[in-house]
Amino acid sequence: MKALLLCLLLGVPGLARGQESPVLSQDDILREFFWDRFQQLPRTERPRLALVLSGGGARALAHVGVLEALVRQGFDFDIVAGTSMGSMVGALYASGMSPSEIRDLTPKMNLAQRKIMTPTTMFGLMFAGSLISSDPIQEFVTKVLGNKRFDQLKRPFGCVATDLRTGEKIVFREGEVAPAVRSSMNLPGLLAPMEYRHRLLVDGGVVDYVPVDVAQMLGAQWILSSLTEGEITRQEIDNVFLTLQQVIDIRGSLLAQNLLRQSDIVVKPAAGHIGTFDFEKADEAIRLGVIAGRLAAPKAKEDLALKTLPAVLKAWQAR
Amino acid sequence: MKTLLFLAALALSPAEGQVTSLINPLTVDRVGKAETFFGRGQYSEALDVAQAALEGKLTWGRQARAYWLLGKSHEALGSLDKALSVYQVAVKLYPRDPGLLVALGDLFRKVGLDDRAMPQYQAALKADPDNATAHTALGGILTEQGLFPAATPHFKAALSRKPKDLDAMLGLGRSLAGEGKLEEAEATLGAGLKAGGDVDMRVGLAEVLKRRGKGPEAIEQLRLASLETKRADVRLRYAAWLLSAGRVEEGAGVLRLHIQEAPEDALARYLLGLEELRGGQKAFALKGFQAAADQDQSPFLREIARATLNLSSPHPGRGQGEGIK
Repeated sequence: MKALLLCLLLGVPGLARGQESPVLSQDDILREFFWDRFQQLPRTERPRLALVLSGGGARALAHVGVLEALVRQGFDFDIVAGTSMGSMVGALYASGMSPSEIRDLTPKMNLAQRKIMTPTTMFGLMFAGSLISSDPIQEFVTKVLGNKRFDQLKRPFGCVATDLRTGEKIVFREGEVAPAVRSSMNLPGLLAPMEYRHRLLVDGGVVDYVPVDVAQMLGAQWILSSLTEGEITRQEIDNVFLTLQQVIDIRGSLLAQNLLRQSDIVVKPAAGHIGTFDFEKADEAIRLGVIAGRLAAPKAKEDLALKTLPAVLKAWQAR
Repeated sequence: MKTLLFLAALALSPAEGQVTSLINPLTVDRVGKAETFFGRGQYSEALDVAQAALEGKLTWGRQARAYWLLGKSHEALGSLDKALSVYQVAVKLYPRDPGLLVALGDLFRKVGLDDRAMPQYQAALKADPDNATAHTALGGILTEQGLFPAATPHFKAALSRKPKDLDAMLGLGRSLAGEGKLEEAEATLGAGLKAGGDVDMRVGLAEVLKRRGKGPEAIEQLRLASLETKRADVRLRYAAWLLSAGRVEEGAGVLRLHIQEAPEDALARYLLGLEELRGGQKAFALKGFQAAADQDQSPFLREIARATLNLSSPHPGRGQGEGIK
């Protein structure tokens, strides 16, 4: 009501839109012009665009929506990096799958459906202290991608895990994709750490929630990060899962701040209310991702226009 | 005795309508009258009559209509706050009246509060699943949010009720284009144009043709659109597309014509500046860039113009770029 009254008092800025057909602003027209010019540039003249996807469990499925909106706008990323659920979405995109193909797979990313969080495994966790196996994650990735190695993906891809013994960040850029994604998603306290090449690996989100640095390692020259932070102000934290979720979210928020400064554009889907394990809200997360991606696209295009202006003007004059 | 009978009849009379008007000519179908005034564009009169009708006895359906007319008349007279109050009261009284729900949704949308509008349209569709207006409006919001696969069925539902609804056709075309179903989008927008679609339908068709790689056809549609409207955005876009396609003489011609009519148009001067720079008329070009850099209506244009000036500055000390010659 307040917002409406404010709009009314301020002279109704929305009157130009609504059911009226949109009238493009001068910035809209110029953005379109430069986006056309950017796309006409030879690949060698364009910066290498990277997409970096944060962790966040079910909430991070919003990345699928972000990707969908950006791809529709004509974005084509050269490099992909991800942590935890971001590594899953990122690996699928890097393999050449379209966002809509990834969207179709999201119901199968549900931990319950993957037989990870079932009454039996939860009973074992609560009463016998036995952590749950993350084998089904690896099986899922293998089923979708086959036994693909990183160098067989269509786009350079990297993901991160944490060595529980040393606290080191482990960056995967080579070898088989499926175990790398599995270890990147290996939620500590819930899923059993994974023994891999003499390392004991858990979720990469413990040390790197938004792996901007991995994208840089892979040669990124322009980085768009999608961050799905959780809302860390909660009234009730009354069970082990909410406690675990809260610890992960707080840690993620803290880790994200520094790394995000190295991103050219940060997209933040308003999915903070969706919990790490709320896989039944996957559709909502994706929808919020689409909205965020669509809103971020103009700014991203403007940023690229400014950064490639010398090359664009040079090409323009050479015509 | 006659007076007594008249009073008794008045007390027992139905709320309104013909029978009432036979008994008391003062309470003739005021809602119908308000409707007539509204249809003629006499909004003050419509407002007064609708208000008077609401003060009398009305059947529920007619009362809802009277509220609708009252709200719409307020809207037409620019009193959006009053219209809002009317709709909010009316929707509380008639929570399942699709007309009122759509009117409230439209008002929210008009002021840019799509998130408040959406539940109204959804409620209208719950009450009347075939309500074409609500389907089109909801599809429009979803399209603006980029949720094209969700928007498309709404436009299709609207068109199944009103096959020639131009708003729904335009919405469907845009939504299909958003989904990447370009062939279908082209057919829909083409059909919309044939059915009498306006300049936006043509611009939509031009956008789809461009995305399908049919550059010359797209530009032709935009040329036609620029002849159909005086909207500067259509004309400037036409010029920009011509420049992009390498038809620089034509593009520059459109821009010069536009600048004659709107000498202060910063975007036109910037784009013409680019062409002048390419043609070796650097002094003219710099003036155009400067004009765009000095304005504050369009922040991106200002930033780009400043960067372009830097890159093409004749004074290396002032510029930081590669010194475009």
